[in-house]
Amino acid sequence: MSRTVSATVQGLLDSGLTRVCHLLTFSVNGNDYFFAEDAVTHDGETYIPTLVMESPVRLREGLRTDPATVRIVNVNLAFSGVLLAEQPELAGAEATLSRLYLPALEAYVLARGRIGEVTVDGADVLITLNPGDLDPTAAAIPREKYSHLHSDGRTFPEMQDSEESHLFDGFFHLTRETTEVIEGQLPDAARNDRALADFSVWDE
Amino acid sequence: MSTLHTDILSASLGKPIALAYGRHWVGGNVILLDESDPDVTVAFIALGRGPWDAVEALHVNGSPVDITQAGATLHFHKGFEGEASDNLDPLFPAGFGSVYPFEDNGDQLVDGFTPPGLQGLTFSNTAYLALRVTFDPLAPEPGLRVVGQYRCRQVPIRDAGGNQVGFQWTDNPAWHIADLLTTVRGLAVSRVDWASFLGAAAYCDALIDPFGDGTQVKRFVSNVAFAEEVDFDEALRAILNTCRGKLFDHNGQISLRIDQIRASIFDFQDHDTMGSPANIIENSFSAFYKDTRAVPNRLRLQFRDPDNGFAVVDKPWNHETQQAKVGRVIEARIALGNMPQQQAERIGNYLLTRAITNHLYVRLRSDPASFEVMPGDVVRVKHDTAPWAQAAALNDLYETFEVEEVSDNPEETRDYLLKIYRDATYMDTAGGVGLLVGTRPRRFSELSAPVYWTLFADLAGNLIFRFTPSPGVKYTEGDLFCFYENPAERIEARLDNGGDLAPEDVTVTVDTSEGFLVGDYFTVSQEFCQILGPGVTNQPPTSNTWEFARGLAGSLIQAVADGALVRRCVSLRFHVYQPDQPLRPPQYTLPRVPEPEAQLK
Repeated sequence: MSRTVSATVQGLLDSGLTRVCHLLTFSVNGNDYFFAEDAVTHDGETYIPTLVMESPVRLREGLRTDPATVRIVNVNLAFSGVLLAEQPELAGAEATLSRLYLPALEAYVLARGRIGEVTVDGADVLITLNPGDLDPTAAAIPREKYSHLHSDGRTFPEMQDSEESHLFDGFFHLTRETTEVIEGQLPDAARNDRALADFSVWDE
Repeated sequence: MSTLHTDILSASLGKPIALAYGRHWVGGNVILLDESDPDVTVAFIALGRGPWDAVEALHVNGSPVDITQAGATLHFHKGFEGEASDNLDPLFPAGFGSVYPFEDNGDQLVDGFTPPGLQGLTFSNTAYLALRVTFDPLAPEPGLRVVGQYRCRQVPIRDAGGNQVGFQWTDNPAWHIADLLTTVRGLAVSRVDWASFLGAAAYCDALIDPFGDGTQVKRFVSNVAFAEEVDFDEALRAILNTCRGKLFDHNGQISLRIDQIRASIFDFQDHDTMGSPANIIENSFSAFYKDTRAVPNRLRLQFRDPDNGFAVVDKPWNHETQQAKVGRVIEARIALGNMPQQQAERIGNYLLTRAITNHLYVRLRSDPASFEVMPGDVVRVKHDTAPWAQAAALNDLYETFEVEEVSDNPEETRDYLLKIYRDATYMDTAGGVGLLVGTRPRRFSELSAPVYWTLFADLAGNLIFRFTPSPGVKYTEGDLFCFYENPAERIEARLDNGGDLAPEDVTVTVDTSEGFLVGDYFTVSQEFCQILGPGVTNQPPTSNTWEFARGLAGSLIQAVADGALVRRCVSLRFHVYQPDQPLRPPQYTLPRVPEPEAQLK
């Protein structure tokens, strides 16, 4: 699962003479935002040079990953306005943190994930990046159940809360007696405005 | 949560519908029961989240059901999306599901057994059985008890580009995990690194010889089911445990790696060596032996063994060296679903070796040169202060590690947590591994047969098996196979070899194959044999010249004159076990007494 690195960049890495710039990109409401540690233009996009990579990006096997934090410094009035406007959709937007090797003009993704917490800290904004969109501890399987649903639409717990005692076990359990009720061999069947569970057979 | 799948899957109302991968014994969840007719009970039994693949065996109230001829009494709906009926009259539902051999999808219409007067339901996406059970006064047990063996959920198979190339049943854990991620969890197909899943699937499917005796088996199979609600993390872990799997979510893609022998891809060193520059940052290196005294040193491997009639196995797997060292046994259970014992043993070896034996760790900070290294990779480390470097030279100065964690720091350095790597952790050999895991031998030697036994029916219709154990032998569990002919339904042919059947013959020619199926047992003279082919099991042979197994049940292989009678016989299997054992699958229930005239051999 090694990272694939181009020969040019590997040469730079081996030489110890790398010069890098971290990039943060995300999209909210159709607006694209580009921040970098330096004023760079990459792939035709101009990056705003206010980014600081605050914390390391930790990688380990498994789907639970540590969040990474980036800081956008010297936030001006215009960006505050953007935050205010985009804030409802900002959390959860997909963001990518990359490392650009300037001599090679090649960028490698360090983390890609969802924007989590956004903290305004004086003139700075701290953005937490949650790698991955999985929250494996929150999702549950299997989820489907055959719930107890009464013939009048009430659920089994609702039936339990009512004063009616019953034997309705959620799914049709036809006994000979019930069949007789349904087929009209007992007087109760003459009334057609009663729910199945209203018949006395359920009240035993 | 229960990934302890040694119980027959069962459910009751309000419980989640089981999500089952692979092959399982399933009880099911009665979702409709009509007992209004004293002679016939109609039962709809939800099995699990569909689509499922096939019924392999079915037992109702302890009696086997012939699933090949069961259309009038059994409908198996695989669990696709519900379908609207062409017949708009709800009084005449028309669904009948999929019929034997269940190769077609069948339908998911309102089932034809739906009792009159009820609102028909298609039970969309739920695999279920619709049964008409005739009252049977001779049934071994009262009430309604339905248990079957099923090939459960079908899953998508994809190529390296994520294109679906198949949709089928499989016992390959890689495709189960992929289905969990995409179909069940709902992740986009683009979120998954399909090349890694394809590679993992191929590694799991590769044939190995775990006993060293030429027996080829798949490296990893998975038969895991979730009958209760579990969180996704735990569900993944349950399947990953069956195949030494590791998931990795990076760069927007989830990849799967099966832990296996692999080569080092990078050297960390504290000095320039052989033309390679130093790359460990000064004062960042530390090595430590993790305290393993509190680590479980006995695993209870809990599974059903499909190679042994799905018998429940609760097997302690010990790291005896560690137990002796710490002076106590610390036990942990691991539920593995249904898997062959040899695979469970390999998993036990892997887990204990990794947790206890491989306990040397290293932390270091590297310069940017190691940018390619990612978790799971294997690397080598050389450092003057390392414990392995004392009195070593040349290549012995390097020790091999696998990367547990790596952090990309803002200033381009990288922090690593490394764990010692050993090829022996990933052996494909069953049984205790070398000196690392001292575990009692997995198999007993062949038991002697009883010195005396008899099988007879008493007046109450019970079938009695009485035997005298060999001296010094304690039978706790075992199987008894009986072959008998049924004179009332006799199926027979005659040898048509054009000459006598010789003891060394491996094929036999008969005048007709009518009524015989591949897999059937038959008698010729005093010999018991089995049809092996040509053809598909449980289907008629495609030729009157059969490949066959000879001399079964200790019968004598001998020459037989041409024209001799060949008679089909039925096999019965009885399972003997200690009475205090938990619930057994239905094949362990003694079948009813065969017809009185049955000839027991």
